[in-house]
Amino acid sequence: MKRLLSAGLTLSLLYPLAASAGQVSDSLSVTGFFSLDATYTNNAEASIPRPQGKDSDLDENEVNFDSSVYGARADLDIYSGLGASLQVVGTKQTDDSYDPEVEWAYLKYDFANDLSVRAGQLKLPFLKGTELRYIGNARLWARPIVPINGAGGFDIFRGAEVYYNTYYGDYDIQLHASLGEPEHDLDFIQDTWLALVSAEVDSGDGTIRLSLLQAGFDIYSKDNELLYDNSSLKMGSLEGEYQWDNWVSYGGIATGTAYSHPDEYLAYLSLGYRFDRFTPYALYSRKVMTFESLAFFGEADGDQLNEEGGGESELPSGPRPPEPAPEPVEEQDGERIENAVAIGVRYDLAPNLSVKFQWDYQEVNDKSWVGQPDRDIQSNIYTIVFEGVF
Amino acid sequence: MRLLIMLMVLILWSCSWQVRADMVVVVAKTSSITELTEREIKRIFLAKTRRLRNGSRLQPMELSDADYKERFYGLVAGKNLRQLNSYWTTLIFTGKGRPPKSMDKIEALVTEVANNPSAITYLSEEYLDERLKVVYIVR
Repeated sequence: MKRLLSAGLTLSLLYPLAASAGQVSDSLSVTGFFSLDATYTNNAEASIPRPQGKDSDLDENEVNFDSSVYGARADLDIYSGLGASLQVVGTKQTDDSYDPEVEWAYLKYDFANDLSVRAGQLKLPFLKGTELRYIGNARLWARPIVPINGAGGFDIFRGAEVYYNTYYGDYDIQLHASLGEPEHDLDFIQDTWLALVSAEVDSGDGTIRLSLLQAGFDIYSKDNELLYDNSSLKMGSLEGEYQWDNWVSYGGIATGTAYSHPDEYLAYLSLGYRFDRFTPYALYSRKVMTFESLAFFGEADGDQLNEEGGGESELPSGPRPPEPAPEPVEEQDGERIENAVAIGVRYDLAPNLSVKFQWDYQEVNDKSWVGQPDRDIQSNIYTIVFEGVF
Repeated sequence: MRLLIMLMVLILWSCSWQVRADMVVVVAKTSSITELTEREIKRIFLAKTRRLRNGSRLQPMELSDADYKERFYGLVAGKNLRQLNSYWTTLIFTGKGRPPKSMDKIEALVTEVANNPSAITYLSEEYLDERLKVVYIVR
């Protein structure tokens, strides 16, 4: 906590100097970002997407700073369309450190006809909230809007992507395709591959983006035995934003389906009004995660339940007998439904520096844990965020 | 005589209604670009394109002055400074674009553009000189 506050204070003192950051030389530009996030809730089980995509282990009735982040990006023009980029982000780790991790690291080439290719480590462009998860200044609300499990639990991938800018009449169009090996939040999902295509249309007053994603993966048990191979996940999203006069509106839906992997659904709608520097807003979101099968969440894998924020489990003591070949336990359906309403205001201290105040009311109906009763969870969450880019 | 005076007043009054361009988009005199549309200007300065249809490569530049930028982007793209910053933030941190090269002094900007056939910028008419040519008038 002290380290975070001192980092935040240092950042705010350095801000006037950093305001001139950007183009370091003709070929190198450096930019940075930060979010100092203070969250207070009356319920430790409140669902808040952590920077790593996992639910936060909140302390109820205390101010939490776990969602604070900082980072920097460097873009280097090497030669005539060839460039390299590196972006690192510091988020709270399980050991309470904020050591930076590489988020983006790639080479790119810009062709003459507005076609670009890049290869390396990239963020998943499924939703604006997944691609710009840590860049608070790029969104109206205090937190990114992502499904419960993110984009199927995938966040970054190593591979290649191509995007092409064109236009039709007054509409700017961007076409995008990605292919690679994504990283999953859960260790037992391995041997992954992913393909994504998207199209975005910008009219000047608004944009709309459609993304389609397909991923393949194998699921292993806690003892590294292969349980399911060649599982596939299909996800789609449709997001849009529109501005008229001083009104700003955002909306989106995302859905995903897979065997032996939770199905997901997200819908959100937001409306805001710009009063010069103040933009009050309201946001409604509904997130649903449906478990078609809990076959791999058997009792012996209770520790995996723990990692996902579930309850405690007990493992048998004493010497273990030789383990038989793994067998699926009885399939059971489960479901987790989150409805949330948020009201907040964003105040722009400067074009690249803002403060946000947001109150969230969440209702969660959780029927997702084997052998546990259904739970209804209501939470009030109060958040103040001080964030910027430079 | 009275009629002549009235006619002169009428002519002078109508002249005051002529629209005067506040800002112009300019390139070097040696540039192959001769004229651009509003659509092309908007795409160039919002980093939606790096080249024109004839293949001419572009390097947009601008003055770092905030009021200058807000005036230009307000007229061309309908964006105020906060909307513009949000737009650039999205592009920068997804790696899909960068704002025009920024310069602090108008004289340095004019010299840079005058010496670079790929450069393009916008400025007030008062800063035009013989090394530059106008390709679009911002109204």
